[in-house]
Amino acid sequence: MTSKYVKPQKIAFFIVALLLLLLWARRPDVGEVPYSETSFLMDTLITITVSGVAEETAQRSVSEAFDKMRSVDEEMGRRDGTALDRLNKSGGGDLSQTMAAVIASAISWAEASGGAFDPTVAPLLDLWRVKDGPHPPPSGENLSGAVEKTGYKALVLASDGKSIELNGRMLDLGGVAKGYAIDLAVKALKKAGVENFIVNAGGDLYVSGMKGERPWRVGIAHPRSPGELFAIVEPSDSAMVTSGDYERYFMWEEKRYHHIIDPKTGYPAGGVSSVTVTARSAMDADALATAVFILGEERGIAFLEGIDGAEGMVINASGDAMKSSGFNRAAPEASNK
Amino acid sequence: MRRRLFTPLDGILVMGLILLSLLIPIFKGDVQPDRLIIFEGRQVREVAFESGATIEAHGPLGVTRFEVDEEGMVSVSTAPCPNRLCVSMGPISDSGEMIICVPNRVALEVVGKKGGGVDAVSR
Repeated sequence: MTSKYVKPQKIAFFIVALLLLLLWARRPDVGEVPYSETSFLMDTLITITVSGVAEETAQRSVSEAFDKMRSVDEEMGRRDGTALDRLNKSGGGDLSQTMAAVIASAISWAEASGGAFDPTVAPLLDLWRVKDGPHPPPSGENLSGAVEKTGYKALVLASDGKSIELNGRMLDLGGVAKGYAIDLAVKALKKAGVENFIVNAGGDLYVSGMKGERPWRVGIAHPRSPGELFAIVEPSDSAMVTSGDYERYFMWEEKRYHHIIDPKTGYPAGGVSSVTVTARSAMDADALATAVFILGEERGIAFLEGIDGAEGMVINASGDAMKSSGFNRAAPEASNK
Repeated sequence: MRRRLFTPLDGILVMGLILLSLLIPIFKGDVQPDRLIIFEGRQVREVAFESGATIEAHGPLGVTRFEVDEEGMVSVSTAPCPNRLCVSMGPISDSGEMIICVPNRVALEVVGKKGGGVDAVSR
């Protein structure tokens, strides 16, 4: 005769098995919830988000990353008391190792872009005073004067790269220093063993690894629909920098005057609303985004095609996007929007 | 003859349980309490994401007011900065989106809202 009753040992086995499986399924992953810190630095809001490490490691590594970024700001910000300010006031001088690296990179991108990117654009930025709110644009005469004081070719960097003569020029490293600071933060995070993170300096990013089991999702701001995204992409292990005419500008007599100044004309560059560049380093992406914005849609994309490891998307004034051949590979559209 | 404790049917049941436990994380989703993070210089605080709320953020230039409308869209209603670019930034609602007023050193970020949020915005 067979019993219709289930043996108690069997019932106990299934209850224990069920509990163990439920506990496993709901297990808290280490670093499942990303750790994030934010600080106002370099004239923008910087957020570092890390995933996949214990909170103690996250806190320590993020703090070290912020220290690196703060040191760049304190050295290369264009305000009273910084090393860059002293260099500009002295007309040149000795350079620290970090400043030498940034200036050398800036000059190199100025040469590569035929002067579209130019670290000596400071006199024009000072004339436009975009941060100061609505005001009449500078006169043509004043702009011509400022253009004459601009031009990276006058800079003389010593052959050992340890000193520079400005020869009447004034440096503004805003186009590369933020990217450099991001790169230093990336190095600090990786040195601390953190592989999954985003360093976000006011929309200039470096994206590394994954957020748990999915890629990081990055929105690209729509240049003409505030608050909306033009695309959502999933870059990995690369920098992504966007330069747009919609972030820093003022309106005067219904005309928009933004902060990306063409060093050759002295006026804000036209024809393009936004440029997004991906590259291996944020410093390169930072300089390239500015250069491509000034070069314009077709010349800008052609310029990018010649640069190893860099890709880009240009959104023109009509809202149409033009991409370099590898942009969709470097920043694939998110599969789950 | 002594009966075996487990039958082939029990094996199928165990396999079913294992499959179920593997599927649970898929349905766990990304749901967290909806909230807004307010940055005021070095100070950071969180407030609930509630329709109709007005949130004040204090910076060196004065008070920046954020408003959440009835549809859950957040925007800046008043700002003391010279260009007032934060006011013209337009409303946001998705996780990861931010409104930043650099001159007044304040910002607001939407966090944990359900839906296709992003982890950062390149701008």
